Amino acid sequence: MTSPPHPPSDLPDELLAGRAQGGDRTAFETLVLRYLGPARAFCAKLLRDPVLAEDACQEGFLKAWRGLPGFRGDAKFRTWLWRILFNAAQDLRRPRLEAIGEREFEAVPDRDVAAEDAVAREIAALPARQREVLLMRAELGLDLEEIAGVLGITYEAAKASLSLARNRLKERLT
Amino acid sequence: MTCGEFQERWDRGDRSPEVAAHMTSCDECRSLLAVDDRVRAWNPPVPAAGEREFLEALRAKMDARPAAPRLRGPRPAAGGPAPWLRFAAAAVILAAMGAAYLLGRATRPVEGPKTGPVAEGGKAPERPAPPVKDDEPKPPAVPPGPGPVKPEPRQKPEFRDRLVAAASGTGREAFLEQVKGGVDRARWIAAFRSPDAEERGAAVTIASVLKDAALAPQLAAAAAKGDAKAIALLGEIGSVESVVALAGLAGAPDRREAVVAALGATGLPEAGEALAAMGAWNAEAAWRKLGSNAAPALVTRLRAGGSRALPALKAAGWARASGTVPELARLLAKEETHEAAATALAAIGGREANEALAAAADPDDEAVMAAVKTQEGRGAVEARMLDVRLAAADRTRAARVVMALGDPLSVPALIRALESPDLRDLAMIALATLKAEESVPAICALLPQRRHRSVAAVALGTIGSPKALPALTAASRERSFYSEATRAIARIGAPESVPHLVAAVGDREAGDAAIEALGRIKDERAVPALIAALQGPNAARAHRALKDVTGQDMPARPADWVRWWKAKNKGAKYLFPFW
Ligand SMILES: [Zn+2]
Repeated sequence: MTSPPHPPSDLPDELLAGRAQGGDRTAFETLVLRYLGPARAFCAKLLRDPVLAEDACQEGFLKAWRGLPGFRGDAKFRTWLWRILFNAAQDLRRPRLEAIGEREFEAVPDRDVAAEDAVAREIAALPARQREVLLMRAELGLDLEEIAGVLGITYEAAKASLSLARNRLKERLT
Repeated sequence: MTCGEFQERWDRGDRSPEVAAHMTSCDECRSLLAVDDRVRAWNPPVPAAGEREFLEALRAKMDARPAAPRLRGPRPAAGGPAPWLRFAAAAVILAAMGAAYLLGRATRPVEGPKTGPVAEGGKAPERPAPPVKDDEPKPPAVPPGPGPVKPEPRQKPEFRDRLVAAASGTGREAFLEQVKGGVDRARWIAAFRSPDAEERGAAVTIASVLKDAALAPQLAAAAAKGDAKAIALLGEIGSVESVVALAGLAGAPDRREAVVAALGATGLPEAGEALAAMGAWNAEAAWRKLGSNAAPALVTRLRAGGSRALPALKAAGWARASGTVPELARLLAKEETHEAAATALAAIGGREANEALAAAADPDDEAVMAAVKTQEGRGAVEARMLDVRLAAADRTRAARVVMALGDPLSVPALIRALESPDLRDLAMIALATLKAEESVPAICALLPQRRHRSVAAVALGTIGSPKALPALTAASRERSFYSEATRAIARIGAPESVPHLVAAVGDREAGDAAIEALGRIKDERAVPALIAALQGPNAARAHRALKDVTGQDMPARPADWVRWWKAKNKGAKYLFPFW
């Protein structure tokens, strides 16, 4: 394993993204490593299936790599990246089923919820939009504007969903 | 600024001292943000692979695609995203530094042993450079291809028509065969998410024929778009997946009722969890349907105790979830939950629940008294009363409950309780209240016991059975017991007791009772004694009795009565025993 040395990991996202756009794979990998932890946690909580979560991360980062030329730098890199990752996770949730027959059924997440703890259950019981907004805020630390950008919804919708989700969980979990 | 405004600023990333101060000091805001902490603290299973493995898998994919059709052999340098910039840069670098070095460097981590031709090139840097240069510009011309698994373009109208027709019955068998055989399955699956309501409805209808548990996510998708039938079907399917899907649908108020009903219909323990999580505590029908499977979810809530357990108590009763009985018994002992727990235990019934109720029963406790009024409840209390292993106080309390219940079916148990000295008096009173004639021999057997004979006499008198007369008469021969025994004989009021009662008319303690009894018996043998009593302390009572016995309405003057009696009994040998 003689991977080329990665660039210093304290460089800002946008700089690394620029270098990656120029073909610097190590710069891109630095970004991957920077976001892999939260991405895995986020996908695992969204999909509640470690295998699907890993697939979503692989697919998401791959799409990001391929989509790098389209990154204009007029948005924050992380907002851009999270949108791609989130869409990859969503793709695994939904139309995968259309593509191939029965085998895919088994890969559908949301099983064994009863065995998980109360938080998991309550999050699972949230409407999808509320769940997404809450996970982005709590797990990824995105602010409302970024969440609206990632999800392609209005700022007000993001704010309302977050409030609903928090209040519901607060009520259920205390 | 309001809490809401502070929260919004916080969620916009504002970390100014003012906002931070509020968010850390305000209880309400803190408790709301605590939700985020719990979300973060939740630790679901995450992918097992390490970062390095992840990167390697990713690199392989990054390399795999553009290398695909055109290039011969491994061509890792071209394995990147292949944007124009990248190749422009690559060309410049190649020219400047020599292709071989670059190729070798980029190749090794990915390709490992398969580097044959390139490795050769690495040994002779100058040679391979020109061909590589020739090849390089080609990849950019290849646009990033489609994803690895894209469904073939779907012929929507044709399939849609067949689906809709099959749903309405036309060609359904053939369609089902195809779907089962996997032919149109993928399209059918896709139809659940169709924006076209009719197509969606048709997909759901087909699902209602097949009732396949694996369809839960599809039905959930259709339900989320508003297909009420899909919700009901999720309930019918009754798999864990459908429960989860239903739980996911619970958020919308307009669907809530249907979701609750469907959760009940699944009959699964997980549905109990979902109902509890939804706070559907008033969903009586759903809890009833879950039955004993509701227990796990309820027990968790019941453990919380206090007012938080109250809604679950109601649900436990509806579900008749016997698994909750131990928790209910615990809550029965707590004032706040006592009444609701009693109601739930009564609804659940069964040995265990009734034993818990019986143990807590007390005549002053209306809730539990109502709960033990059932046959099983009474039986449990009686069993407790007769359980010699229990403390005397507990048994006595049980006996009081039996007495308060006042059920004739308790007589056998009460008769058995007569064997216990502690319970004897109580049991006799209870039997007397029940007028239990079958207990007379057992009570008579207690007359010789000084400690119990007073109560026994009262009980026998209350029961009023002449069968007790021989024993009472015998017991009355003991002077100290004469009055008590005689009062009992008087209450029984049987004709065969007239001689005894006539003899007792003048008794200081039993005379009044004897006179009353003689008035009721209406036997003329009593007349002389009653006339004599007109001059004693019970004159008024004796006067009334005389009128009752003789049917004569005369004043209470003894002389008048004597005259009347002599006239009525001319030639009688003796008339006035006491004179
Ligand atoms: Zn506040």
